[in-house]
Amino acid sequence: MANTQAVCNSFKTDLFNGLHAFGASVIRAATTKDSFKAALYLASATINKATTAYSVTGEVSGTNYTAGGVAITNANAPANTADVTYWTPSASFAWTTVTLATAFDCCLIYNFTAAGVNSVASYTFSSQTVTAGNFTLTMPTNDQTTGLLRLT
Amino acid sequence: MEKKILDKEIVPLIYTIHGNLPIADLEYSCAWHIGEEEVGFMETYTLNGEIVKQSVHINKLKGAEMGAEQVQFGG
Repeated sequence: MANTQAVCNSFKTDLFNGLHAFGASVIRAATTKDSFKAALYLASATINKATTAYSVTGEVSGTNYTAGGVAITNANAPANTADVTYWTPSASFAWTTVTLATAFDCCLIYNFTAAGVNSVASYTFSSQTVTAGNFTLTMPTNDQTTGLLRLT
Repeated sequence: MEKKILDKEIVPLIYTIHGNLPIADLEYSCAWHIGEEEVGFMETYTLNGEIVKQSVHINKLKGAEMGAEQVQFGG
């Protein structure tokens, strides 16, 4: 046997589950998983890796769209395969009978349980408008190569 | 006395920005967008050239990846 330097796979998964805090953290009220939401942003907005929290600035607006976006269905526990921890929502994001007349191209996932509505990740797609119709974002396969959120 | 509704009397409607309209009066078109990271499907209904209903479905093929870098002591 020999020792090897590595970031432990269990640690990566623990990060997804909120078990470590090297800096100041928060008092968690329960051991249950947090709630997450997905909000849509205009193509003219500036949502990127520097985005720290959900904001209405640049968010889409229109008929039947509620500010803050939709709740994310989370039946998938984070998993680790081939040294990659990954997680993917277990259902598509769907907005029904909406009218979003101004072009949008981004979806922000954020923590709705956290007091600061802290951001998780932003995802872009080809610019779209919707008229009295549905907009759905279907999730990729939940595995180590395509999962929506992956830590290598 | 109840009147029996015949099939030919039923007019299928669809919800649009102008309310419910007979679907037969609308022109339907659809388009696919196939990219490396997404597949998109758009369906559009127009009335005299005006878009009165448009839906979009996007399938994200791949999510986002972040790395946990390792640094060698003394490296």
